[in-house]
Amino acid sequence: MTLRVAALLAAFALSVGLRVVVGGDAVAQSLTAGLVFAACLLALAVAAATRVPVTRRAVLAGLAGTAVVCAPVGLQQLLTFRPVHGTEGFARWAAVVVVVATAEEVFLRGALYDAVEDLAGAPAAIGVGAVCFALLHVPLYGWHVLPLDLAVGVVLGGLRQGTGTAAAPAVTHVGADLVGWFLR
Amino acid sequence: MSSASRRWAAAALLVTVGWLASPTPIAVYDGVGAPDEPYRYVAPPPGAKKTAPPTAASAQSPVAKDLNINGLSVQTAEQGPQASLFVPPYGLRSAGTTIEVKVAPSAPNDQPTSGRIDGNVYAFTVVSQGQQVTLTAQAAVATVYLRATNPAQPGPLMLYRKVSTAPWEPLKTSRGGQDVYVSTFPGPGEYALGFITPSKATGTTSGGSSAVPYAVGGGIALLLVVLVVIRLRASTE
Repeated sequence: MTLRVAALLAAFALSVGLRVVVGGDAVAQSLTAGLVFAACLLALAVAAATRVPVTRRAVLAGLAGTAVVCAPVGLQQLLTFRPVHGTEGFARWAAVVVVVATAEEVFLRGALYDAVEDLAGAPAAIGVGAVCFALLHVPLYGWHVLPLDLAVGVVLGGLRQGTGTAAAPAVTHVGADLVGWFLR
Repeated sequence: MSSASRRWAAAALLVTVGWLASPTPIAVYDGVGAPDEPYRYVAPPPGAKKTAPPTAASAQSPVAKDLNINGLSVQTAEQGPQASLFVPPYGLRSAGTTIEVKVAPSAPNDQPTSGRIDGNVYAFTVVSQGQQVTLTAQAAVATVYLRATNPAQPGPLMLYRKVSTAPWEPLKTSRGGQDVYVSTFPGPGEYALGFITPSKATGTTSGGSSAVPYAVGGGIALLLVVLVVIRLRASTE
């Protein structure tokens, strides 16, 4: 079991590294690098025989999670009368974001969560997933992402634990990313 | 309050704290960054994409006891903004009744002695009904953000001069995003991003290095090995 967790973490680190190498200087905005990363994570999840049941409860919890994650920036947008961003370029970007965000959740809150939970329990699984989620974004955006992404990672892990499936955090993650396009 | 309500409240609190600790206009740093629009030049170089002109911006704060009582946040309207300035409350002193901060782009009219300017020059001015405006100790946390013309690394430095006849001086610069650079605000004047040595001016992209194919190939091979290990472990458990 320990070897399984270690292998998943090593493979995850490798996948992040591949993404950074493929994306080069523009890694955060590279759709190709994002898709390569998503393919790696999905392959890992398949190899680990991860199951992600989609239930009505999970989808509803995921939508509520989207509202929670987007609330601070949404409120700021309202209070500062900042206009929402237009839709030009949205469709292509959104298609990739849905794949990448879903792949991240299927791996982090699916395969990795299951392995760590079996080894050390749900709190550890939530914590390890949150740390991985935060760290994976550091090469893309810098160290200032850690507080926000750690917090969001814990919420996503909590959704996984509360609903019993990675479908709920996947809905939240995809929803927050898509809403984030307009709130920036 | 039910257990579920408490959990949702805790989640909202946690996200809010995380968001406040990572000052950002986005909901979550994630996956694929939303693309910036092409850089808007005042004087586009040959081959630059045709764009709308770059924008100017301004923000005002009332003055009480000679200090700005509101924080001043000014940012240009491009996606993402090409120039931003944040001055905290009580960071500016004036005998006027309001203080206004303005930012306006211009084309570089000269270059640093050993390098070149990347993009536009941005003039930050602070006015207050003809009264003199000075920075207070609180202004030490005021920050200027400028967006570079591209995210190539190594990136440019923030350059500053009080007046357009003075030489450019580099400021301590940090990277605030993929192509955004941050510096403290020493005062009104001209700001620009620039490469101050010729070797830095060209920039290098790690994606263009000859080691990339080997790194990608090695990474995929290692990943395949790990996949086999995970698969074998999963099938035996």
